[in-house]
Amino acid sequence: MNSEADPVIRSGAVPGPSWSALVERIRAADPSAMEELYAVFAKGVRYYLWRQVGPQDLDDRMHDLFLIITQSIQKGELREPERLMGFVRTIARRQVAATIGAAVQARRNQVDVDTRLNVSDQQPDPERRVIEKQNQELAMRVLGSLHKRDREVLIRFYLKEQPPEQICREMSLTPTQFRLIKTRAKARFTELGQRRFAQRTGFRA
Amino acid sequence: MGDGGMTHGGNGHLDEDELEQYSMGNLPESESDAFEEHLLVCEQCRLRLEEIDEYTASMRGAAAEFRSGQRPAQVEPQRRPWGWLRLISVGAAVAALVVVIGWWSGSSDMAGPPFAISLEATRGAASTAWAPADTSLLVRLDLAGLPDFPTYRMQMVDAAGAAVWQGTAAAHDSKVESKIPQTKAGTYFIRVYSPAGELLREFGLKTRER
Repeated sequence: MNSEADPVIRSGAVPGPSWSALVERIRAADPSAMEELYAVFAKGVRYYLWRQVGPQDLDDRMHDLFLIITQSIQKGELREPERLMGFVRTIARRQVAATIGAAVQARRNQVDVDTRLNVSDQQPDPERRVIEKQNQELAMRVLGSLHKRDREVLIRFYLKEQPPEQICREMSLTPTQFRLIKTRAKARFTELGQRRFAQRTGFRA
Repeated sequence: MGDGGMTHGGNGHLDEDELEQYSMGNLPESESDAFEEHLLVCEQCRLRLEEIDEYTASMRGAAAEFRSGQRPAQVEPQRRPWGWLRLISVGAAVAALVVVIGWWSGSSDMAGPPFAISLEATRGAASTAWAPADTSLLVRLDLAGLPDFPTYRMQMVDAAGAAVWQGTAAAHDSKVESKIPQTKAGTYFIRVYSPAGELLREFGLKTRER
């Protein structure tokens, strides 16, 4: 693998060079190029699919998408190699839409013989549930520690999902005041989380 | 840019507000193309989005509880006014750990002073660090060359791969520190993970009886 030509694999960095070279190598059936593209899929595309449609059949979906993309490239259907990631995203969105559409159609066609439904359990695992519960408790402490007005701002934003402009207008806040309330709450949440960790491990930051 | 990414953050990464908007499903459609293309290739932004997802979900749940009246508002205890003094004293203790130093604990329980050890990443043949068993450890891990995250997860496993300790800490100057409970004599490995769980580095450590 030529790391200079393919810095896309570097974690944490936004790749700068064009994707054209990678596309050309894929067209030439270069196995290493396929591996490099798969490395992107294994992380970024997988994450995107998981976030959109959940963990069910995630690997299969990712592999299907990978095949579609590589076959399209090899057939010359990618007109702008530089826009490879845009192409990947477009195909991924279509797959997500198709998945959701199929699920909706399946529910419409389903004849319920009894009231039980076969659905995959997409609940978080037990460890995840504990973490979520703990995080919510921290959030409760943050909200409880706030002035009533600041708490109302956050309730409107996170629960009612009111746009910032509406919140500022109705509560006579400047955008800066609004952002400050949110930033302070988030910082307090992070601080409480770190403090809780320190209490459990005896580590003091 | 080859990744088609929007870089409103000014450092090649996504802006915090955009991440929050996306997390809450409020990012304008006109901006989502470039936003999602960037997420496909940028692990750092994916991790930030994960953290924001967790935070917004927590706040939403907590706000719902407040609205339903299930939990009354509570006043947070006042911060101790001498908290900053503690920070300074801890900072000074950390600053003293520039080189590998250690001190023997007179007591074998966690309340005694820990044995401090600094583990560096080296190339070529690795040499395993040694530390006393039955004494808590204050380990400082070298993260030079690793991706930059706000926090790192750490795990200590024994020779069989069984986890004996795990925790999370923030990095400072490419180093992360944490206190590890006393262990029995043996071979251990301290692993550093990204917040998403990707293994980034592993350090070998042997503990032995004094």
